[in-house]
Amino acid sequence: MDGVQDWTSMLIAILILSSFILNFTDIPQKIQFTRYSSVVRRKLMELMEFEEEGRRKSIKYLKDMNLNNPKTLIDNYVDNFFMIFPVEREPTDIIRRLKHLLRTRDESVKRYVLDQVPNVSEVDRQKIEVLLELNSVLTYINKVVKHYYNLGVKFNDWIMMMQLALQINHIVRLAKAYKDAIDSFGVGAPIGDGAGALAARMLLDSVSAASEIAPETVLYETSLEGRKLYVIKAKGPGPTVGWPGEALEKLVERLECRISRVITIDAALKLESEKSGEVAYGVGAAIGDLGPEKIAMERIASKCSVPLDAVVVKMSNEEAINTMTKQIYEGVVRAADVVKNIILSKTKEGETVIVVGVGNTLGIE
Amino acid sequence: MLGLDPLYILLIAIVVFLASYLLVSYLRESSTQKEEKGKLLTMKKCLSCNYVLSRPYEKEDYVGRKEGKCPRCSGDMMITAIYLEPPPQPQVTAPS
Repeated sequence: MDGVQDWTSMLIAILILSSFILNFTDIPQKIQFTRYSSVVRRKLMELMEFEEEGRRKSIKYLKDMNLNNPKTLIDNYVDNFFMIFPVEREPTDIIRRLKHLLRTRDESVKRYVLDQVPNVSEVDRQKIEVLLELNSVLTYINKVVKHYYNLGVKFNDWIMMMQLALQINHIVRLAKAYKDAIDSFGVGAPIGDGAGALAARMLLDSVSAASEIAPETVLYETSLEGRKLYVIKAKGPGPTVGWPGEALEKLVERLECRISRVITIDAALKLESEKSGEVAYGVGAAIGDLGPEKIAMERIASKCSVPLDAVVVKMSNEEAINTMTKQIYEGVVRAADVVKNIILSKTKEGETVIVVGVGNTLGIE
Repeated sequence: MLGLDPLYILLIAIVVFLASYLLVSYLRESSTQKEEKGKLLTMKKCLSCNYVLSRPYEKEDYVGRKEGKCPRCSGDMMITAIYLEPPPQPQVTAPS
């Protein structure tokens, strides 16, 4: 019995001591800090591997395009070509300023690639631009995580380290999607984000002829059961999204507002509870740009008082930037059917409809 | 049991539990699952009779490219879809 009493007193002493340590010292936080920082460190190694692997794969794809110095091309790109967003405190003409900056950046990236690789085809040039962009994103993600990790270690900031440790799995998942996207763009098959462009393509018959209406954006003319159909999409099969807002603006002005409906189709990010390839329709401009293209669509539709419909194919972030899966493709077929139904049920014979297929048109002419 | 004090047993149990918890969480974290990506397929459709053919994706393929003649009616064929076919799922048999 004495032995048991000794043990009981020792246990009580241990409990009191632990309670003191837990409540009045920083030891638990230090332990947590060590644990969380080791989690982040391990994931950081993974992110660095992604960056290196991405770089290796890109160099291989660029060498396949007969580029002599792919490493220098990537190294000189990744830390440059950033864009400073326009002043938001004074919102007057902010869209015009943003559009100007986006165009300027686009032009300078294009010029950079053409200077380095003068005799490259348009499709290869677009592929190179996307590969450079993906490497840049991987480097940036890595740098930001390292920044917060180093800050946390420097100031023993266990709250920052804990936040980083809790978010790191999402960050790694995103970085992995970008790393895998290098393969998808290297291969050249359509990606999930091409859902809108592919659905628009499905509305065309084999004889529809294309004309370039805006930079890297084409217009097709066709018909559907007595309705005149104009289809706008990015110019394929290179990886570009074109300028669909500007193209729509030009076309509606050319037609002097004599249109009955504008239908936009795009890929949309799904919620975790939703299935990939689900199709939904609603009202508005289905486009995920930074602003200029979307506002151009909204402005022209409201100026001409034309109904603006939106049809979306849902998918995850990873699916959007990787090769199109069968599930997404089936969603695209359904989306094209939804668009046809909207045209047939909401417009009459002889009327004119514009369909805008938004998204990256890689692998889709 | 072995003449051990119950408190000893309790302490040993706690230590074993913590050690196995740490080991399991470490193993779960470090185990990497090999992903199977599936097959990339190109679908071709006859522009005259809508006959559909599928074949593995080739590097120069893109949707809208006219390619070859239809084996049924000799009409022009066009690539209408390229997608990733998921790998076959392992069959799960229902318990009887």
